[in-house]
Amino acid sequence: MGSMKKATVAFSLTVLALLALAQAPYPLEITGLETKDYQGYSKTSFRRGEIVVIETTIEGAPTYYFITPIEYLEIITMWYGNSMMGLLLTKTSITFGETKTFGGGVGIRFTDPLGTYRIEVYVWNGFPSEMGAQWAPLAESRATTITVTG
Amino acid sequence: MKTKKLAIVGLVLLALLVLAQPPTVTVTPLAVTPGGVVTISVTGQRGEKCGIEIQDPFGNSVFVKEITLSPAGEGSVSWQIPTAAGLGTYTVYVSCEATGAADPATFRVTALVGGETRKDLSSLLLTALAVLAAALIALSIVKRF
Repeated sequence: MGSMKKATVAFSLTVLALLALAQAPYPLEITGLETKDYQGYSKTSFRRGEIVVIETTIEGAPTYYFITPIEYLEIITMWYGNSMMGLLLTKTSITFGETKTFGGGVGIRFTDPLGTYRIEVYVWNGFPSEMGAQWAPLAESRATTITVTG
Repeated sequence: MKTKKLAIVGLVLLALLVLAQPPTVTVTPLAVTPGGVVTISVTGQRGEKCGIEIQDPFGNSVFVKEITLSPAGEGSVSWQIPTAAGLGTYTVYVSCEATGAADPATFRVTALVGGETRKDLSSLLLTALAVLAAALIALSIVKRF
């Protein structure tokens, strides 16, 4: 093999390695996570009896190109310590360059505890019970907190 | 030369076997009352993400959580079972992105003896207060005479 050919192969391999490294680990990205009041205004402090409106935005990762639409399961959970206070989910698909918004409201009951609640968002290819060994996260999870006052 | 090749093949097979090991899941305790806490511990590959799902006896997903395993390949989550949770067998599903799926594990949500779902101490406290009040009244009457 000539030295020119060797250099070309080495260059190609380096480019491929850099491309692989630059590629996002997951095809999707949670680009937005916001809590709002019933009127749609951004809010992080709530009182008992109010509804926490959670809004998320999902997009294809900028460094990850996909031709066929990706089907995904988005899960929004609200936690107080080890207690799951709310669960919202949707199963849908997204095409490259598209932006999907999903959200919903979780009511805070008058018997619910006061303090800091954590909201976590996951994007998976399905539930572990249905996907088994093929289960995979499709985006880096995101989290935010809200405060519940009396 | 042949030995070297065999050793390499052996090492590759061993690595594949290690990679193919499904995650290990431990659920404690195996029986819990409503309002109690159940802990799910997962052992897999370091830094991998795992999805944990718990289904109630009716097949509804009542707990969903994603965790990232530590550099030692370990992780755990705890779930405080709602006081209104249905009684019966709950199934825990754990799937990890590198090591695959573990066999489903189960735990039971059981009622306390006598059908209690939690210890109600209010009647005991009220009785104690009544006895104390009666004793004080009796003492004051005795002191007067």
